Amino acid sequence: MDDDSSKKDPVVLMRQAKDGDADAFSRLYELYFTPVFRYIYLRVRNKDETDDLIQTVFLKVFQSIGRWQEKKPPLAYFFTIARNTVIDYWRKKKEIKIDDPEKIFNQIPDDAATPQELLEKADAAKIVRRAIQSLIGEQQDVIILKFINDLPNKEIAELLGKTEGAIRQLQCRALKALREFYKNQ
Amino acid sequence: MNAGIINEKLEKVLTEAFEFYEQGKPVTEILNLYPNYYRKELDGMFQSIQTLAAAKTGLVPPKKLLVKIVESVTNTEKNRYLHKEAKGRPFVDIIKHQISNFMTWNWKVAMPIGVVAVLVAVISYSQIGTKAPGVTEKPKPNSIVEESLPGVAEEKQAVLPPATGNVEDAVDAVLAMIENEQSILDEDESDAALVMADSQAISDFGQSYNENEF
Repeated sequence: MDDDSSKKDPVVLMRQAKDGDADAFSRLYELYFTPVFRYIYLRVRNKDETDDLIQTVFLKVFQSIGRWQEKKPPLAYFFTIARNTVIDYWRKKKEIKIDDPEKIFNQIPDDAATPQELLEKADAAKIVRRAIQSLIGEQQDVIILKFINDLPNKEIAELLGKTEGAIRQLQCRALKALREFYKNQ
Repeated sequence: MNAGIINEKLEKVLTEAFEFYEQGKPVTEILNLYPNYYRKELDGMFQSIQTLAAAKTGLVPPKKLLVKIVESVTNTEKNRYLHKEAKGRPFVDIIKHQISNFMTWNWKVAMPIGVVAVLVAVISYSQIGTKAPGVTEKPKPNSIVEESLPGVAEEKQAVLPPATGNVEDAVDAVLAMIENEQSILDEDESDAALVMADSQAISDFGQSYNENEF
């Protein structure tokens, strides 16, 4: 492996970071900043909280890097910490996510529009965030990990402790629920 | 058919269609695989996927946040040892940390230079102290310096004839050397006798008179 490619290989970077290499940490943060940001942005309600939680996630990664084992993909490691941080956040907020989408749908104004039209009317990211937050916790995870962060089903399954088949089923149900959400917009 | 069975069947169709999509099949081709009454649901699913994909590009984090995070974590690195200490970090780590704290950039440069300077000084001093033959002291041919007992300071020089290549001169030189060696041996013997006498005198010192001696 040449020097340049080793600088970009997340496993090598994790190894170096584990040995206390600050540059490796910086490169890893750069590499995973966007996926972690997207995940947290879509799981919490406002920008300031997103920023705070991202900082918390990266700090936790820094403090716990010694426990990282090579069999775990680095991105999955970051996501595990991000997911636990979000769960802690909601627990502290005492805001239990609504498992029944109907309760969410009742809060949404009843002006029907296609997803495409909605994108034209407002910021797509904000709409998608609202749509994703209408889902139950696990559905949110699979949608963000699969369609926003492009993780393969195998990694998502490992991350969530489920089979690939269960993940696929969760994705289908989540997509169906999203469709319902858009239909009710 | 009740609603439960319809939903179950729909879910199966959606899951299957999604699998085809993941395998890379075009959406239109997938839609053609199923009867029209599933089309609406399938359309909705693929539209949701497209919406998510479109939203993804709009989700760009601010770069300054990354800089802020990296900076804050880098500062935390200094406190990392304190964190470890609280958990009972190993003694070696403490020493390493102390050394790394002590070894600032200036020390990292000054220390090796100092060590090299000391080494050079020691080596040059030892070279000056050593009397290298032919450099600091020339050998004195045809002369023999003898050290005698302290306080006697007697120097004898045996002058040998110069090497001319003549056989007679060579014989004379050899005889002179033998004579010289003989005189050295004689002196050694006299020194030994003197030492013995001194030794006897020291051992006799303070002893009582022995009348049987006479």
